[in-house]
Amino acid sequence: MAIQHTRFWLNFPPQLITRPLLWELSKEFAVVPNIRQASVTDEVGIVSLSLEGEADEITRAIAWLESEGVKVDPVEMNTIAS
Amino acid sequence: MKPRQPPGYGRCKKRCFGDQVPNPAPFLRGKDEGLPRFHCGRGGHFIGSLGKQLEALLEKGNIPMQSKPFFSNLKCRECGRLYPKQAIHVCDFDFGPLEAAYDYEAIGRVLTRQRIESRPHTMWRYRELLPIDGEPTVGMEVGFTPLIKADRLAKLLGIRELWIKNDTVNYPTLSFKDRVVSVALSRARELGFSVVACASTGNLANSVAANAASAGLKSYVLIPADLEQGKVLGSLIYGTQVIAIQGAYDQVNRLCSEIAGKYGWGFVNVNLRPYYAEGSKSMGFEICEQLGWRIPQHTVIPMASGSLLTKIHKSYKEFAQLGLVENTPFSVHGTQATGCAPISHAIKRGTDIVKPVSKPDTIVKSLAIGTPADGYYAIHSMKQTGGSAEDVSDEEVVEGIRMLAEYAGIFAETAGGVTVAGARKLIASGHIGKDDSAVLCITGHGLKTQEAIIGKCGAPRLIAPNIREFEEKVYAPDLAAAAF
Repeated sequence: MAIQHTRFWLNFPPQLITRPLLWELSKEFAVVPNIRQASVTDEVGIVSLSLEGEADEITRAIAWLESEGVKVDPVEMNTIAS
Repeated sequence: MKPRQPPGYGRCKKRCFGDQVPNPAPFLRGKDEGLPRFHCGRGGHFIGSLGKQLEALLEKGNIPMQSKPFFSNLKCRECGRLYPKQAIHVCDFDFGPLEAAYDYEAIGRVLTRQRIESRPHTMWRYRELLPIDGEPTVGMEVGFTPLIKADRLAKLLGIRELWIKNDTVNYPTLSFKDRVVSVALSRARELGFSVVACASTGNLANSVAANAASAGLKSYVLIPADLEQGKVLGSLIYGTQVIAIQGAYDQVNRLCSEIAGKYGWGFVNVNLRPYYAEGSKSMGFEICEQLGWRIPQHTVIPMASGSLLTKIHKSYKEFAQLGLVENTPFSVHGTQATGCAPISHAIKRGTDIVKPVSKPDTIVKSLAIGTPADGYYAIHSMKQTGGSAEDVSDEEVVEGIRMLAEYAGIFAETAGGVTVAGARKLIASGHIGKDDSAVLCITGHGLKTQEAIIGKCGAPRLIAPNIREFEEKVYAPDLAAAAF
């Protein structure tokens, strides 16, 4: 299957800010995470992330992040307008 | 050894590129293609006698739009990197959003109040400040909606002067989205798209479907599968392809992003977003012109993604920069529904970090964006201008809709109720002075969200078909009530 690049914004809730989730992600799944911008406060962690890998693997990686409590949005954030 | 210049090239009088002309001049595209090259490639820099003739024509305003290189680039709002004017929307480097950049020097030479006033009453009278290369081809009748002085509502809200910018009567689909869509689809045509699309739950879908139908473009509208039938009908009627996607909102959102990137469609609020968003500026331009060429002291704007607020802010700055209005102090204020108020809450917390709302809970569906893409920039617009933000409960929204209807004669959708009720709070709290003047931006017609007010604005009084009953049940009680 072809390798693809997908771009996301991740929102980490306060309880996950100190956990090395992206390191865990790279160990668990065959994807290459590439952080392009980040902002971390006591309240929230925001990361713009590029993921490189096979489409199915990226889908599984996102599902895992969400199951851990990270909000994953496409780079456009909301594609669904009113 | 210096390469010889091709025939027709000369030294730019402004000497911006010396005697080199690196690119074909923008003037030589479209109907002027094939003419000698007399322009160095920068706005307003001309070469040779033909260039001087052209400069003179430009001064008089007799040059067709496609000749003018006013819209210059796309630019990252984060890092400032420049990008070509293509169907792209985020910076490759930091994923910052791209927005249109212009050659204001060139615009300043041709755009005057008189020039604007001589044009048809549509949003395209400000076309030099909108991101298309040629003449608009979609939505030529959009915009220039009424700006109404609302004295009775002003008294009710406790402010000296109040104006309503009434986009409930925008053409053709009764919302401000017609502005953004007409720009996006005009640009889509310039970029060669034959299929346009959007993901929407309401006004945007209606506008894309209607404007695409009018322009003969094939259109797709992606919606969450559980959307109310009434909203779906508003798009289906135009013959668009409506695709209902099953799944949680976040999944639908990501699929739309994937579709937008994969099939080469012109996705108005994704890969055409830099063009689409700029259409909102026309609302601000119109407000300034309709106020007699001045920037209002206060503007109250409903916020979903926050884009409209940032673009109205940009429009005021552009008009001031171009000298079309005096650079007077102004504030832009944002309003949201409390059930989904990530931007308003950030302002109240005194931060620019927007915390997402995972499950919006409000009747104001058109503003229920939990992760607002322009939230950060909207906060900065409000901070820069001394503006503030407010959020209002669903009960206050309904009250706001009723106040606008009963005191200004305008029936707005729920977002309008948010704006009116939010403005009342901003005035009461002193963020908008009681002796000041304010404009409220009303963005969509109430017929679109009737379900929000059904049962909340009274019922007809029922009488039998005879005059005695009318007098007993209507005339006499009303006369008695009037006496008090």
